[in-house]
Amino acid sequence: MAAPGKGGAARFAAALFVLLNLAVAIAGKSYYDVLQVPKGASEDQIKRSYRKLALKYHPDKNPDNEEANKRFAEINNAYEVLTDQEKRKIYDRYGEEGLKQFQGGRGSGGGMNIQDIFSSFFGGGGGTEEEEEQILKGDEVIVELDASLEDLYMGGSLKVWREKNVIKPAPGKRRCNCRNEVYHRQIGPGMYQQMTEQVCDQCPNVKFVREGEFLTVDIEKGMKDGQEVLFFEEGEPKIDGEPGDLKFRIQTAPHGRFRREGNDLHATVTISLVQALVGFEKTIKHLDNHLVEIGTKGITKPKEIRKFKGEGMPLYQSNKKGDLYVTFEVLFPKTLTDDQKAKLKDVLV
Amino acid sequence: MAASLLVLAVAFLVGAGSGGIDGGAAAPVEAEGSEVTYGSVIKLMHEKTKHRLHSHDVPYGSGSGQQSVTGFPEGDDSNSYWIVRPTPDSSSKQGDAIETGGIIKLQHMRTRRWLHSHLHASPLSGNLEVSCFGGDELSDTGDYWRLEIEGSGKVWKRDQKVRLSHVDTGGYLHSHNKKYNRLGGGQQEVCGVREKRAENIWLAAEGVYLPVNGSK
Repeated sequence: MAAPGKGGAARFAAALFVLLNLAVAIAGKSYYDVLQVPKGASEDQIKRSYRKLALKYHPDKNPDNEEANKRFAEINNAYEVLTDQEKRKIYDRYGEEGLKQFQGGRGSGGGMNIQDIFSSFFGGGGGTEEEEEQILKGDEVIVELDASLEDLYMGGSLKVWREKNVIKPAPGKRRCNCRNEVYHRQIGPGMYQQMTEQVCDQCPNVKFVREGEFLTVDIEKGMKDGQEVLFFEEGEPKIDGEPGDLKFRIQTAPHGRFRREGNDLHATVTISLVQALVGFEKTIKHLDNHLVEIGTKGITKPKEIRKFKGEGMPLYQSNKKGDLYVTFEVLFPKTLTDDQKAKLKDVLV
Repeated sequence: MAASLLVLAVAFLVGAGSGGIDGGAAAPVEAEGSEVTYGSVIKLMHEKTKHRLHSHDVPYGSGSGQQSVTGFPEGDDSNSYWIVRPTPDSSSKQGDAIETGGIIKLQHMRTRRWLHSHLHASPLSGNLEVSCFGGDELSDTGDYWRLEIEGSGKVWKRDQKVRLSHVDTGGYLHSHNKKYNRLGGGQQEVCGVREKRAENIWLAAEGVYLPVNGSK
């Protein structure tokens, strides 16, 4: 049954799925990044991270802050998808595009109202005056990450291996919730002494077990030095508490051809004396390999700097770009023959 | 027939595409992500006693008086993390694998100081003192350690037996069951010892391992 039509159907499906993957890559921030959790995160971990972020970006806490409101909507949207088993599966495989098709196909469905998600999670009642409970949090782990200029220009990702200790149940019991209790002891007629005693409860025993997993650190276009990518609860564990966070602090790695200064790029190009005097055609290859025309018909002075608008680094989460500054180094000849000198005098005087 | 071909195409592409559009074949999970590369942030576990190399903002009460380094028994403290760095004159950069014989520096993650040794006596056993010294702007050859992989391995990997030989003094990073009473928490002495012993064997354990360059 080797009819050519069948192969064609498979190749079409292949192309379609490559396109869907491409759509995911170009689309907005991943829902996992929005909720600051790794891709394999448990629903519990997602809920806890959502709670922290939703409280932080709630419109009542950030009046007149458009940025925060936008983020709050993103967070709720991501939460709605990732805590719905079916939607999460579809999102993991086919991205946002796949979700849209899935929801369109099911007719109504639609998204829950943002306020509904938030209040159903926090059980109604405004939600603004939620006091942060005293949760014991584990230690933070901070990793400095050099990101290449190419990754910061086009976006990129790095797959790191996180080997960590996880708390697991162990046989037996242990002391927990230890606290100092005050009591009074009679040491004579009408004389009492205040004593403190450490009192503990009994809890099921636990132990540390080592586990490892890959985490994908997404480097977004235009990220600045010092900007952090956070992975909720991927830091150090805490017995009777919650794990601390893991943070990647981005630094721009040195580059052979360009130097980054904020949103601008700086490069140095060497031209000959003739080119400096009579003009020249030249292109410079940018970080994504597109060519920038830097030639001129006029005269170029030594160490002259020319600005090329919009050829710098992208601004974080914006369509705007900084500028490229090119410094022209002019190569002077070491010596000239008498003949050359005579000719030059004729021409230039 | 067409339907089953479609399912096959889907299954193949979804499986291959899970890591992004690079389309690279997935390497066996154990091999990937196990190298200790420059920039990785790791805990070093002492093989014999299972204590972890540890430091904190507490100075030695003797010897150089610099920040103390100990063996710490618990597994949930971020003060046991060390960043693996190349020496300043090396051309190595983040993501490069480290070969046996290579010279590295270990930067304490929380205090930014360097794992260091010198000709001072360690407080409990009178061996070479191992301390934490300097910072981002200050470092010297006393921070240089040579990686010696025990056995046939060429490149440093997680859970692999290694020794760290201090370049200036020739002492191996060493620990033993001699405990500090004053510090509490069951912390034990870390020092330098010039003889190769079972107590100078360490393993890279928990941490964040950066991928080897070129593997992404």
